[in-house]
Amino acid sequence: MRRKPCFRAATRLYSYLDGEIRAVRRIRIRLHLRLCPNCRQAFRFEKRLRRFVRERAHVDAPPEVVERVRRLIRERSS
Amino acid sequence: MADRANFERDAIQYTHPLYSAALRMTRNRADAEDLVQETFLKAYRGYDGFEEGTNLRAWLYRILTNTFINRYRQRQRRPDEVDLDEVEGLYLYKRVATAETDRAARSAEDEVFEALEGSDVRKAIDKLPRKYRMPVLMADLEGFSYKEIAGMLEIPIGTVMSRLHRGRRALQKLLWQTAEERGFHTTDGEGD
Repeated sequence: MRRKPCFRAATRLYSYLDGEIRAVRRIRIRLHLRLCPNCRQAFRFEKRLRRFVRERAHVDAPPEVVERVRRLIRERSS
Repeated sequence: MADRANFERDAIQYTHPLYSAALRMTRNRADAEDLVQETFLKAYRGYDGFEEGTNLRAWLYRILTNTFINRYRQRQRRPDEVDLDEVEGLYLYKRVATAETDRAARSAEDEVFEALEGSDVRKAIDKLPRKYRMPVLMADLEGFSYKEIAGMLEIPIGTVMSRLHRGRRALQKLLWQTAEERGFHTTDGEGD
């Protein structure tokens, strides 16, 4: 990633993935990704990593916690 | 305006995501459970103010975050929190791309992702100091916008962005360290 468009894409990687980028820039990055397999690969990796972290970080509440919350609400509402 | 009588029916389903988020904020089960219970109590009391048709999960998450921040304002940092040094961009990608793999049929990327377990990911997140952990949780796990995060944490958007940046890179470094403990290393000797 030495060329200028690659550098520009790399600096805007997160804002792009976060959907926090102006339309013109987003289109420019998309265009670049279509032309540049290296950047495409890097962006795809970051996207996969984020999904991976989100899925793996999740833990369900233990059943007794759900039950306690339910009881708490019922006590208040009765 | 929402009806309190429907609160249990509408809100109880979010116990799991709220608990999961609370656990990453507090980093221990007892505090996470307390936090979730307090969140539901506050939410129940304030349910009249919830606008039906808007995002209930996000509304509950906001209460959770507020409660956490107010309750643990003065908490000391944990000894296993990492110091955030400068980490280069695409840290994990660069290492995974040059990681050695013994099975040629599969990509090193797939192998690394498979080797990292849920508990590895959670431990890595827990090692981030709170100031970086919170924006990462809110953006990457919950999908909140920079503006929403800035509002909840009461910091400027620019600060959200820079903390996210540093927090995400530090997280990548921690994940690679775990991969190294699992026996992965790069072919070009890069890495720490």
